Amino acid sequence: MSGPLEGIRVLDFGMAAVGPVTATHLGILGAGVIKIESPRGDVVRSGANSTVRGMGFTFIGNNVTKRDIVLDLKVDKDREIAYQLVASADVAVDNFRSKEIMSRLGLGYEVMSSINPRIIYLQSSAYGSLGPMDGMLSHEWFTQAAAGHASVNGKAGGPPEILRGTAHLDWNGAMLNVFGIMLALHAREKTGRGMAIDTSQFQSTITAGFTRWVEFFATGEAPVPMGSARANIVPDQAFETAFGYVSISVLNNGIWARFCQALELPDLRSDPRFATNANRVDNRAALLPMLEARLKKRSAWHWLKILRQHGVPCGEYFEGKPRSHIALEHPQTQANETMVTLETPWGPMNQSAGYLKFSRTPTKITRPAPELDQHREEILAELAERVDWQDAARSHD
Amino acid sequence: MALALEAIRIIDASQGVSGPLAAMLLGDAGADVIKVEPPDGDWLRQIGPFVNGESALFAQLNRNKSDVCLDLKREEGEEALRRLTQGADVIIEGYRTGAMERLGLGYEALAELNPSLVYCAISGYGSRGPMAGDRGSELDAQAFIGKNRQLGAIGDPPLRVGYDMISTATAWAVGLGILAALLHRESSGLGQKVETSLMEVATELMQYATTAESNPDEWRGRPLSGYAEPPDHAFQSKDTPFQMDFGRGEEEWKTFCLAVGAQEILEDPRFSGFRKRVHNFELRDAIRPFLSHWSFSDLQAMARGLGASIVPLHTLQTLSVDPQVEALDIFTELEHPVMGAYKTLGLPWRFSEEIARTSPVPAPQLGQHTEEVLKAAGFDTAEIVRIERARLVSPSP
Repeated sequence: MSGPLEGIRVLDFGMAAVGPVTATHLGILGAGVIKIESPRGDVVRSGANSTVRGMGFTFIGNNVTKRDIVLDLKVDKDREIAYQLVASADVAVDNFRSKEIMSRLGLGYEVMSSINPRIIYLQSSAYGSLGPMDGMLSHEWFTQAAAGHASVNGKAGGPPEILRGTAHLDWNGAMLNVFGIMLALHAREKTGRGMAIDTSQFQSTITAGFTRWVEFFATGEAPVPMGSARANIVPDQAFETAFGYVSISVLNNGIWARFCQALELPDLRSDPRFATNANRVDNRAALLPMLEARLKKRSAWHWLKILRQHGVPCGEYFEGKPRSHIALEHPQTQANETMVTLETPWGPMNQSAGYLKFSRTPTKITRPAPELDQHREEILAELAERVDWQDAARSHD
Repeated sequence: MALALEAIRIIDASQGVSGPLAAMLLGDAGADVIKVEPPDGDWLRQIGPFVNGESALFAQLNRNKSDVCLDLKREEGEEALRRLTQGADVIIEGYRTGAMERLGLGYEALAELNPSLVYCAISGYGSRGPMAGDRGSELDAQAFIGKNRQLGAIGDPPLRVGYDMISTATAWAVGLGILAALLHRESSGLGQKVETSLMEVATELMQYATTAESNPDEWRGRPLSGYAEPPDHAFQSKDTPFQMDFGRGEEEWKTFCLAVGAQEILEDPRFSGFRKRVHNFELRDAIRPFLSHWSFSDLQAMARGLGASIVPLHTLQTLSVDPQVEALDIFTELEHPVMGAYKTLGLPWRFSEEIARTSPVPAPQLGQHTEEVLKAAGFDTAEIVRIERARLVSPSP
């Protein structure tokens, strides 16, 4: 691996999504990640969902960059190996529903930090380690409902809607987890000590809605579904054209001036009802029919070209192909190497290449998801070479 | 315990949501954040909701920053920023790709004067390719990656994900990317350029679908979703909408159906057996009328016997008074000189040591600290007068 975190060692005790994805993102940044699986393996290896050559696709996508060892943490001999791994690690991650689970296995934060005071141990549960929902299991679409995410999706005036076929709350949570771990690594540079970090999908989802919460806090009214539009910026929505839809976001007055020019509607530009965004929000009902009528006259293709020439933020709604295939084939993602196709034991797999580019320490995904217990021999051999870690781990027993 | 980023100085020259939110969180972790705004201010200052004339959105995304107003298009302003970055560890900017280079403020130029500088550039679509110079927005990024296909129905106008997921996740990318580069600097002594974009973060948030669509053994609608499925509006009880699943056990399912009075569902061959119940979406509509007779707390008790998950589908208002939000201490109350007391979201991590806190220092007025920041950076009075005069001569060329 290469990247800014080269030399950082991460243990992934997690299963399914948010824990493993947190560790994967650290791996993409260059950390060395060891995934620890129970003898039954991560639950998403199974084919309960779709499979690729028999392997659950979720597992393949969530675990790139990792080496793998199977440990039965209920067995002393294996727990001993886990202690040695803890002694050698900088970061440990899990996403069990309660902290109790790792504590019962003898691997709570107190134990880990007594073996290795420098360790940073992040536990990422569904609803948090306090309160009436502590210990509850979740799945993304439950958190979508419980954390307000669903309440602002849907047609204007219609019921709220759950986003389908996604796990983006897990990815959002994983990114916030990595952010927290990075802060702890910086604190450790100063103090030499690690720490425990406690997060939840519930809170990370609420935090992802930051801007909408501001609307609620400031007005006392809960935001509601508005189709593709939003309450506080006009226009910032999808428009139907003569052929297809375009998204248009007029974020400021400079863009408004260029937008009016692009649409060849100079009267709008000088109309005081629409002079500022605040005016346009107030006079939304008067403005939108004019814009809709104009945009319906030409195709999406035409407007995208004109709007881009005028520096107006706009977007294309692609149809007809799986979204990832569009992402793979689009000249813009290609130019930025946004996607990568990895050779894996289960065939070629498409993968986001990571969302950060570092000029001095470029990142590169070099390992696909591991097979169960694939790296046992080399991991044990490395531990055997590091007698100091073994001593640290043994002194605990 | 010292905060994680004490003695780190960040120049936040970005506007809108992603850059400012990231810089604010880094400030909460102890960094000294100087916001640099153009003469007409961060565009977010014009976006509501407004409280006593102040943009609540701006105020909540920019607390704990000092504020310098510079016209970067004039030599005086450009030179002032160049000198400020010489004493800084990090600069964040979100101007269109190439804009900072044209002003002589690109990474190469600034790194020549300060090789340890971490330069973070945020763009809509990455720094290369045919759309490199295009402005981005939350909605355009959602359109680009096809988020709309996970909501609504085919033939209907596209919908948006109501939470600004891509903008906030880009903030996490900015924060963790800067921290990774700073960590690397601890050993190398050298800074670097870190780039991210709404497009790349959107692609990352779509990873689940990306892997699913790579090479599946069978093309199942369920995990791949999109317009193949009807909208999911969850369920309605007598008093609140909610989300639930139907458990796994046959006996428990039978008990549940009888308890809610849905005998005919049990007898319907379309829903016999676990697999059919999971994969046949008609069940959701078929069972709706039976569930709406019951209060949420009744259903909660019945779902417990079923071994199912059940949660309310919260609006931000109902969620704001949920005991779980209180238990996790998710909200915090702060003071703003114009807005008065206001509620906001606290930090999404619970660290076992206090390495970050929600800073009470309110968001600044435009240019509020220009003089004192420049003075502290070694500018003399005559220079400061020149810089101030340059920005007051409008419009800039």
